[in-house]
Amino acid sequence: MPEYRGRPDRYVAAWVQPDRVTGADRSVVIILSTRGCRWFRETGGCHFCSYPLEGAGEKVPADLLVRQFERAYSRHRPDGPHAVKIFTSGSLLDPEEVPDEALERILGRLAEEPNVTEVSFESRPEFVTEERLELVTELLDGKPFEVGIGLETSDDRLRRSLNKGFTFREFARAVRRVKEFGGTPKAYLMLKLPPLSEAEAIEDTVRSAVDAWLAGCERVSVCPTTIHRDTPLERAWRAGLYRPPWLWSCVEVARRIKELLGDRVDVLVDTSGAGTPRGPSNCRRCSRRVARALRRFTATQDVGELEGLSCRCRRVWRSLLAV
Amino acid sequence: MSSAPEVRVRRCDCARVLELDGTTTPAPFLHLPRLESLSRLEPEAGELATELLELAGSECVRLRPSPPGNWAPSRPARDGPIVHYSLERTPDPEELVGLVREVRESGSVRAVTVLDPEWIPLLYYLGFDLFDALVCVHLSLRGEVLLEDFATEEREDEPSELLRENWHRFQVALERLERLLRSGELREFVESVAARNPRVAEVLRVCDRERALTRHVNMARDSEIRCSTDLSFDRPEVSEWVRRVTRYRPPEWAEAFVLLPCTARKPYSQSPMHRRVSRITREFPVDELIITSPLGIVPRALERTFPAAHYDVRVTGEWSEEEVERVANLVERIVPESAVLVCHAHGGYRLAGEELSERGFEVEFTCDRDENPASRRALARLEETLGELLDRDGGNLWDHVPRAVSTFQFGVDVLEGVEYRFDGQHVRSSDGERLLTVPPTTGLLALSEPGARVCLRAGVDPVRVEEGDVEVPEEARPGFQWPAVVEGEVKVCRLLVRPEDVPPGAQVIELR
Repeated sequence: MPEYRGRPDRYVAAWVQPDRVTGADRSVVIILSTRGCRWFRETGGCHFCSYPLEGAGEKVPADLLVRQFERAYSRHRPDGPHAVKIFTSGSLLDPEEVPDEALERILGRLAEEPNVTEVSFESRPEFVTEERLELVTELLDGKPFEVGIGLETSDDRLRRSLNKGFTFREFARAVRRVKEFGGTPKAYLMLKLPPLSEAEAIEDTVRSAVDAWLAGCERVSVCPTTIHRDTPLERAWRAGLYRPPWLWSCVEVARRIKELLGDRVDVLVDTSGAGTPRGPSNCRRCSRRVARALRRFTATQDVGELEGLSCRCRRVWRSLLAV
Repeated sequence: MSSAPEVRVRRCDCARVLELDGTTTPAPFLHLPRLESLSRLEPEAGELATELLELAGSECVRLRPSPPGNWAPSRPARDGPIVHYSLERTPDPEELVGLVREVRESGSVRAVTVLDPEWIPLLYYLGFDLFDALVCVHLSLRGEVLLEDFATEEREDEPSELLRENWHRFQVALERLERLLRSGELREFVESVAARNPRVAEVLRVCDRERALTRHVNMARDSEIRCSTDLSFDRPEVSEWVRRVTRYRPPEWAEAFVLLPCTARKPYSQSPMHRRVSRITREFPVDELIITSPLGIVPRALERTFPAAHYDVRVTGEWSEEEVERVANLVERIVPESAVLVCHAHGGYRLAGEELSERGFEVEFTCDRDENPASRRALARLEETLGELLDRDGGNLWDHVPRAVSTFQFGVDVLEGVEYRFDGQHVRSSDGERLLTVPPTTGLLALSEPGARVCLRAGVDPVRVEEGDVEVPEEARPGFQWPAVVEGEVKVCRLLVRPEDVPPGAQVIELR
């Protein structure tokens, strides 16, 4: 049995980060402790993910969830305009994970905050139903919202092999629904899914970004793989049979997507874990520098931030592209 | 590969020699989707890759692996029966070895991409069959050439010139691995790579400790095994010996056990020292156990059985605690508690006797620490001691050979209660029918059909073939002869490879 590390009365984490969102330049990220992703509970989850283990693992009643949120938000709320991202290591729209009462009180509260320019949350596509979206829009009362969906790749076969459990068509349908209700859909794309080589992974993510855009996403978040504890991917990584991507690959992917789609999409590059063995990395000399450039790019969408980066390890990366 | 290749097993001895549509492994392969992707992204490498494709022609397996239905670390991507892996970073030895164990039960042919050629001999030894020729592109771009021992050397030539050379050298190096496997020297070669690469050594060491390869080791060999380094101490042949020799049952008439030092000459009984000793011991009802490292103990009746007659070990006269303990543990497992031990051994060998004495055995020492066991004085002491302990009523240890080998090989003494004659090579029933043979090469049992029936009667779990499905008992190892029941009929077979190790449908036994 996997061990859940979270507690029902304590949020997992919260912080403020510079961000590119509608009408503000930063956002508060709040990760609530819930019973966790239903897909994870029922099937063991996606082969690379153990986020749900950060949560409580048991049903968290509405009042505790609201209290988690209140604590985190009051502690991190900035004075000026900001966005709020409420993540659960699962699906905010899954009523079994987040009871309606909690949703009502949290979203209702945010709807009343004039400084909140956008509310962002995540969900698996099966919970992005008209009924749930109706509830959300009603609660948010006109406040812009973003729904992030972990598409990972537009290649159905690859996604299926990682036990993701939905098809591109289901994703596209969810995206359409979000747009119908006035929300902003966002696709999470995972860079370097096993068993892809570095070069294949770059192509896969670029292709997936284009596909996601065609499906209606104007925001894509490129997430280079990080190695989660107690996952099959961690075993492969330990055995030497998998390495997270190079930060150079992230740069390459960002540049290429921008080259193809320009301002039609916002490309956000997730740099969590950058420079560590479990996350995307270059050499020790340049990992931080390149990660910083990626963050600047994410905030400004200016490809210029990615130009002129260089390091001796870039040659090594090029020579290892086929692995 | 577009259609599933037919897989034929040529040899298995930890590593395998397979035949796939005319290609003999270890062989190079090219991963076409990766090459295509590389060409689009990195024109210079792409050009070399295209050149390599041309150079390689049909001498390279071409793969188009794709994600399986359900990804797993042990099954990341596949093309028919060929599963593709990629060594992307320095492995954690335990984790890699654990995975290798799974991989070897996954009934597959394995292709692996690895750009540091030093890992190739080890990976071959662990059971990978195909190696990515992309390493040639990689080395050429770095201005390096591959050497015969899988090391590399810098060169100043143009990449495209280097590519030709590397491709040629890569093929030669892989062919060498096959030759080494066939001649039984692969392990020594892997150890020599491990000697210069500690990361490789770690994996090899853990692999031995976890006995990850012992199911796949071929004991029906007639080649020397050389134990030159600490890494040889637990090689699969040795740990398989140690496990099987504990089943040894001394002849019923043995009333005492003489512990003797090993000799460089094999089988030991041909050495001058052992000949002299045996002239005395054969007069008494004693069994002989030879102290040695790394095998621990070799009972006289098993001295011709692989690898007892086939090993060569560095001899320094220094015995580590580990070595002494191995000997003592084995003796403890083999001889009854009440047995008298006569330790006719000098120097470090004597430590084993001392250890056994400490463990509560009655041990008589007939040879001083710095005395030659073949010296007159020592021999006289041996004879005197045996004379005091026992009657002069010697048994015949040679008659015990087939029974000892049977227990070693099958886990069952198939001759228990059977009347037989043994002429040193053949075992015949009382009416003259040939049952078993102990060939002097491997010292393992070969069977005749009547012999197979004797085995079945004694309770040996046979290889079963029913409607084409082959079921192989746990104890059978590649190279072993084994009784088989094929669609109800008793036959003799030789195991080529463990069935879980190869794709379904591949031939795993050879009927005699």
